[in-house]
Amino acid sequence: MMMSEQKERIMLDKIFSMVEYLKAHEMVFWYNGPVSQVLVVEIGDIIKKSIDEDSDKKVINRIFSILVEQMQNIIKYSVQKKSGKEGGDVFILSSGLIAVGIEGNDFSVISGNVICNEDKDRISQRLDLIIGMDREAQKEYYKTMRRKEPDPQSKGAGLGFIEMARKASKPLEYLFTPVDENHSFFSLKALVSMES
Amino acid sequence: MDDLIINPTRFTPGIYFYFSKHTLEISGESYPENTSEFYTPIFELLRNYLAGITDQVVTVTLYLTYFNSSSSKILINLFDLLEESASESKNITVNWLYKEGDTDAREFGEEFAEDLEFLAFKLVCVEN
Repeated sequence: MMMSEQKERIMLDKIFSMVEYLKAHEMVFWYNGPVSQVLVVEIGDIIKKSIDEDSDKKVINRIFSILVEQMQNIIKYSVQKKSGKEGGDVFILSSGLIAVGIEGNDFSVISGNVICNEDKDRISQRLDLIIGMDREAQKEYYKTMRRKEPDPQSKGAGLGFIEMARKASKPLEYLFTPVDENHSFFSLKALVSMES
Repeated sequence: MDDLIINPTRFTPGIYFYFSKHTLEISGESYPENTSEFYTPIFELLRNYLAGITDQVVTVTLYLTYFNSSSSKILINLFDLLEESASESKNITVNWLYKEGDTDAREFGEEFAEDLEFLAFKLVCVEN
């Protein structure tokens, strides 16, 4: 992933309008940048603390669970990566977006990251399959996938999407937005009902 | 065989394998970036332990307040390992602990239990 031509200076008045935009859309949390395992823990912790104390513990746990899957997907699959060296250790940082907001009676848990276009079909096939399933079918699919050897092209257990779908109270939503001829921005939204 | 004790971190559970007392416990949260890196050496020891036991009463306690999807896959591997020993008439009981009111955690336990035949799998509610 190439650094896009963002040479224009960021104007301070734009920053305020960005904040206003997020506020108008009831975004509770918004982060765009490199994600690491430590950040997963910290963001999870902040979200747990910042969501209304009155919220059901189960609802918070579901949001947390979706966030962890989304952030670990960014770590594994985002093609926006930067590598470096710290001491003797090589590190790789993957970038993506994580957001939590309020949508009516639901919390929305959103992630976004850049992917290669060649992975689009695989992602949408898997998501469409899960989205089309009822709860019972999702459960069976989850149990089957859990026993399956991971897809050779997949770096994870292949369970992230189904886990999110089962924690969500409405079907997952996703979108690919073209970035350049080889890449797209993959955004994913899970809604978690405020009432468990 | 020496006991295996690993203290919990913010994203890996505590491992309390008292092989000498035949009580094994995993408790805490489990969502490491690389699950097999964390669990493979632990399961290696467990495999050796299971191969060496005969009619001892073994109690395995799992109290995971959160685990990610790849840890869920690891748990299946753990239960398969225990199930195999149980099918050889070894006396193994798993206690799946969940917090009172946490129906999601209870359901996870139920779903694991559905896949097991020989292993005694008990759901235990922990009162708040």
